[in-house]
Amino acid sequence: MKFKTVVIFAALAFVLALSLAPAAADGHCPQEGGTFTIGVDTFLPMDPNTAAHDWTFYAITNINSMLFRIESGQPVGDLAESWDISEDGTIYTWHIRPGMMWHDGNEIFPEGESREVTAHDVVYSIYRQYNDESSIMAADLRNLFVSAEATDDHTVVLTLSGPDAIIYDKARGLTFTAIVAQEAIEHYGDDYGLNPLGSGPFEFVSYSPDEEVVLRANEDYYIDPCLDEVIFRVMPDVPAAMIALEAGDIDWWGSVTPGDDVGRFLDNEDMTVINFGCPVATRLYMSVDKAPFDDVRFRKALSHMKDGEAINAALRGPTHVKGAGTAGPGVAGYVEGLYDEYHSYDPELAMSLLDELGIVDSDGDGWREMDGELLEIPMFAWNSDPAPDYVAAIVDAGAQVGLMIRPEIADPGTNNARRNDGEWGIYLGQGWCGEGGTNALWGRNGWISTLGYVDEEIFNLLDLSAQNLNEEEREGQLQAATTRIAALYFEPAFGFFNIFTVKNNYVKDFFGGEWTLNLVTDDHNVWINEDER
Amino acid sequence: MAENIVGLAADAEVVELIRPKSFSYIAFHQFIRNGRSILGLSVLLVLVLAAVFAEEIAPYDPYKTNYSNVKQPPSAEHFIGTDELGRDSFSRLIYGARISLAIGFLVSSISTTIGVILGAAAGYFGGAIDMIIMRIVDVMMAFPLLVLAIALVAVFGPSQDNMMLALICLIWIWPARLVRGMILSLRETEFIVGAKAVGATEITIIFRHILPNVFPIVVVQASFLVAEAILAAAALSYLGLGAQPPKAEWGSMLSNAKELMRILPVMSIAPGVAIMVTVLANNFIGDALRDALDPTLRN
Amino acid sequence: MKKYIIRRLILMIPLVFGVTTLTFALIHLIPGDPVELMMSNARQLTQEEIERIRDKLGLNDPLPLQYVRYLTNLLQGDMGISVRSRSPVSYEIAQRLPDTIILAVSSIMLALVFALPIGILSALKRGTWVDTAAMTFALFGVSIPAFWFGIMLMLIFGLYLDWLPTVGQGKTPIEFTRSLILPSVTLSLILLGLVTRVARSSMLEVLSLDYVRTAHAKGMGARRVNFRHALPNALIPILTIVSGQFATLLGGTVVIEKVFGWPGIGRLAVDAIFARDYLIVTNTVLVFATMVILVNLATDILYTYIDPRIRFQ
Repeated sequence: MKFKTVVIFAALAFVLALSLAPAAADGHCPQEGGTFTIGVDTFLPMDPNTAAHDWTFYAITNINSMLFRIESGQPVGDLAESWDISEDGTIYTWHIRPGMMWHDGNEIFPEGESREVTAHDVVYSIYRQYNDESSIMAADLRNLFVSAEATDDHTVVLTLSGPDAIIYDKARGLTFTAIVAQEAIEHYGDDYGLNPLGSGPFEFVSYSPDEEVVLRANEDYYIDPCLDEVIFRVMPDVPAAMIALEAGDIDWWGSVTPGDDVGRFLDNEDMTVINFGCPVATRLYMSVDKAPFDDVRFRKALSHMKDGEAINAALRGPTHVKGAGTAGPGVAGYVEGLYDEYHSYDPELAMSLLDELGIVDSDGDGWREMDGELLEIPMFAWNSDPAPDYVAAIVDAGAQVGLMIRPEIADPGTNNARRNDGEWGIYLGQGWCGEGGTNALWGRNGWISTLGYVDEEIFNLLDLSAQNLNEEEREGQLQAATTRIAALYFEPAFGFFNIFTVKNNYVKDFFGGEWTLNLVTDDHNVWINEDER
Repeated sequence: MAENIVGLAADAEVVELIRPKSFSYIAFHQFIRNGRSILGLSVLLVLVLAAVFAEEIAPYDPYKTNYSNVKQPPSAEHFIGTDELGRDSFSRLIYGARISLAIGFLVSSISTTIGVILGAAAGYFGGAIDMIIMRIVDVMMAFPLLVLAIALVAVFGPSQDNMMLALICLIWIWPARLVRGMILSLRETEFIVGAKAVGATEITIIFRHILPNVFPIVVVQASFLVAEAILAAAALSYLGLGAQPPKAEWGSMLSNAKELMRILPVMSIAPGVAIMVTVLANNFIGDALRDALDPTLRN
Repeated sequence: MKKYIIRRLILMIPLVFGVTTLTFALIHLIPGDPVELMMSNARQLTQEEIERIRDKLGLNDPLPLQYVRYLTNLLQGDMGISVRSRSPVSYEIAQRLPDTIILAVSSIMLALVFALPIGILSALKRGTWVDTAAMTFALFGVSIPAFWFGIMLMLIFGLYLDWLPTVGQGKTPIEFTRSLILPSVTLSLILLGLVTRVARSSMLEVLSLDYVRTAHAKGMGARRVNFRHALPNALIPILTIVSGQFATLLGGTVVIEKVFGWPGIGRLAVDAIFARDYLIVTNTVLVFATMVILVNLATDILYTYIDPRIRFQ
């Protein structure tokens, strides 16, 4: 008994020591210096007007200051120390942190000759994005934008024409507006993205396309970064990147990790698997405006003919999450129990539904006919893993109930084009996570509207939720939309998968990427334990 | 003296010994004597048998999924394990022989036929025909093959047939160049000039006099093209532009196995070895054929 | 000689024009939209945004107009802007071209260093087990799928033995060389078998020529005959093969660069095809083609120095 107590206390003390060790919030670093190498699959020039890509954006959020960052799903201050929102949700007043300086020691600002980042820079950056019609400024924001004004050096007033509940959502809101210096934009012109300059925790050092980007610590930042250097190393081949991660050539793989590797890394004591916290759905879409997909019974048959959960579990490994709907567990709009209600594995039911529809095998060749002709359904999918496996699984499931399914796998461009043309058939689809993702997919002019997914009531629910600042009501509206989509379209679901990223354990005080990549904030400061490397 | 013996001998065997041996006779013997050709032929025979009798040989249905038995290591039930959908990898490997061999032989024979026709036309008729055909060949020679292949497959839409079509579009230029070159040099030789002098028609000259001379060399090249086509197809499938899953194709099996490389290296090794063995067998045969059929090499 | 070179260079123009036009047409025939493909999980563009960006980038103009615009700009030395990265195409290519050249040249070197001695040895030891072993090795070389070989090397040397970096490119000269080893060995495989065989057969051919026999008859030492008289003449066909295979080699970089994460233009070209980055594809192919043609021209010129019998009219 006594011995056990000792053990428990020892364990508690150990856990306490562990949890205290990485805490470096006061700017004190357990170990100074070190290089953090991040493996990414693509990297493009770092102009916030054009850089739609995730990892490029991760670098931008460290070079440039943002008005705010997203941490644990919540907006936290960065360049803006704080902000007020008017009651009707249309006027945002941002209070700019004083003393933030542009990076110096470069072509624009020689060493020691930098200047402070002011409200005027913020206004300049917003208008630069707004006025450039080819910029990636989110359409929602562009459509609501009225004006941005600097009322003094440290106050920016942003006026919108209506409330926007997803202004903090990366996909649809303000988080794509990084603050840039007018001097740098004018000096470099179109080449700015190759020579980015900002006021964030890290300064840009060099960029080699398809190779790497090197950033070094900005000592003038309001928090002193523990890291000396951050390198984004481009690794287009995921299996090769997994080997590099294990060999310690990269310290963090910030992109989706394949299920099998997650399983392996979970067993590896030197690695930490980090959940991005936004499960992504895999499901089927179909041209619902054309026969036989226009009949809900057919869609229902497709849903029940396959063992979606088993397929997803096999293909996603430990990243598999059971469920269905527009949003996964932990994401606004998630409805529990949808999978069992609409998508359970029941080939008998599928067959009886097909029989009911008159899609039967009348000539005895093992395949069902519709209107006397063999029903051969094309299934479209893109060609990267594991999409072709889902197709193989559906072809096999179809064969079990007598439905002939013809795989049509192409590169993503061709696959998108087929969907945009509304070609007749089944499509493999992946959701996007977040509310923005739900909107982009199911909303008005959403990605699958070309297939006939057009329902005013769903559009209205989504529109309302995007403007609703009351979180509870918004959740209700999103759930209503999710439920309606499930009941109306019966879009056959496999389940969700978690996005896991993997880091080496010697990277400390780091919790993975969110909508922004937060390496140095008020709450944590990433450092490398060289002794463990 | 020799005439005497021939005249006298009633024994056919003696005649056979004395008479100059025919080209094909020597070639055949040369081919058979080469140990590698026998090895290549036997391997190819095994592969063809595997392809033809895949249903009988394969222990399992290569398309049947089994989600409760995925990613199994090699065992007595599954010689090289199961894949991510629980399908038996060995059975898929056997079915894969069908596709690879079909691609290899179809692409090689069709593109050789096209190449021979166009090359012969260019070489024999010369002038504008030659100009047009050879400019096309020149342009294509300047392309990096795989880039063009990827673009072509992307245009046609990825599928096994379209991949073969794309490969044919690219590969015909080699036999065409070869045949054109040979015809250009043959055209001026005495026997063609002689044949023309005695009034042989062009068709006769091409089919009776030129093609038989070109034929052996073309066969040699075609056998190497089988190997080339299989390799190119594997690379395209690896990039996700070839045969459509769930079809068991070695290249796409490799690209599937990529993600499982660490857990199930056998899934990456087996299809690669299969491709290598098939290509090697073809190259052995091509090599032996060349030794046998190309008189310039027979020293 | 000068006239010959100029004539060849002039003949190059229609060829390059043909290649560019064909590529431009082909890549636009592929369905798909570059702007839509820029989208990522973080940033989902709406149809409205896509149309606006397409308009701005001139992608909605009729194709012939786009082609004329491309050609006019090209003649002024401007290769245009990449849709995906929005930076100048010339920058994107210039950044990667040296990497591809280094990779290609080092694999040619590797192939020559290994293949020449093996080929020559097997010719000298014709009919022995050495010959058989060398020829079998050569056949293996041309029979292994290069990308698969690369993966196997990566698995063995990068992971199990942990001797060499698996992917990417080192920064310091030593690291750079280390990172170059696996991709260049893999790429050299394409040439290795071929060069061995050509070295053997051309050596055999030369060895059977009269002057070599005469040299032997004169009582000259075998070593001296083989290396002073036979070898230089045997090198000509090898040179032809290597330069003739240059296009194949560049094509090979496409997959190898992708597998090893080597930042060259082969990978750029493939990525650009899938991203429908039209101008990148057209211009990389233009650069590829120009390189192939120039290398062939250089080989022809080199012949005149190696073999005085060859003269240009």
